Amino acid sequence: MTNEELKILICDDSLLARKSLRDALKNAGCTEIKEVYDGQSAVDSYKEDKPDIVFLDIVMPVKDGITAAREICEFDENAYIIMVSSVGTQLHLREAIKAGAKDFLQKPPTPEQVKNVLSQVTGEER
Amino acid sequence: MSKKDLYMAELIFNLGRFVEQPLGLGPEERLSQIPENCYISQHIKGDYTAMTGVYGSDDVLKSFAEKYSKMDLSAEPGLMGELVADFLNLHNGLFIVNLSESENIESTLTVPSFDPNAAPGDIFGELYSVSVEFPFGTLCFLLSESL
Repeated sequence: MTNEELKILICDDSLLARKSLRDALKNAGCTEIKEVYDGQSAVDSYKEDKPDIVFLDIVMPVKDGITAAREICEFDENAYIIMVSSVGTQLHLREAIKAGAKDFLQKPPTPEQVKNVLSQVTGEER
Repeated sequence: MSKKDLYMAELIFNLGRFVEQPLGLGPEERLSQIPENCYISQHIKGDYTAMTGVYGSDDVLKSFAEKYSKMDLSAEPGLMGELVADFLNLHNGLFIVNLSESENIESTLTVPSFDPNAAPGDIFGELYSVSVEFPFGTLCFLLSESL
């Protein structure tokens, strides 16, 4: 699988965070990128589209990212969820991993960190 | 160093890192209530609890938002509050990560508020305002912590 073939879901209520992540993904060759703004929409969108990677914020309206990650992983235990949040405390890290997230990126993530995530999914050497 | 001083020291660092190096700081001022023009706020809750906010003239808030986001808001002035709130969220997040790592104090954040028509959030104790001077004007940052 190549970056171009990846289906990606970004879930963040921050306009700037979505833009920054989208730009990094596009620069890495990703083309199929969907954006939603709250945890419930992330769960609904995941069930509909089954994306290869979900970038999920934690502090969001309607439903927080930890709850959304848990519900997505209950639906699909192989979901590849990366938490991207400004609240990267030990407690939140533990909760995210317990909910099923594969990794945690402290905001703002660097393009290099985003590329690393992609290469872990595609298996491509960087 | 008190949490308040730590919060302000990190604020200055993060302003320089993500927006623009401030030219200076005004004296810390104690307020009796949240200023009417302060509609951008966020609460920290958990082992450490506080209300945080930022306010200033629309022109300065717009310049701040443009510097932070590297976006031109001329066509989208409605994004100003959201972008300033985004910075507040980023700074508060980095602050509670630091508290977690250095002092084992675990807190989280509420969704930031930037609705000019929304009621101001609760304050928890003494309310402090610090003015920060930038080349494009002055903004004030609020902190009210539960002790």
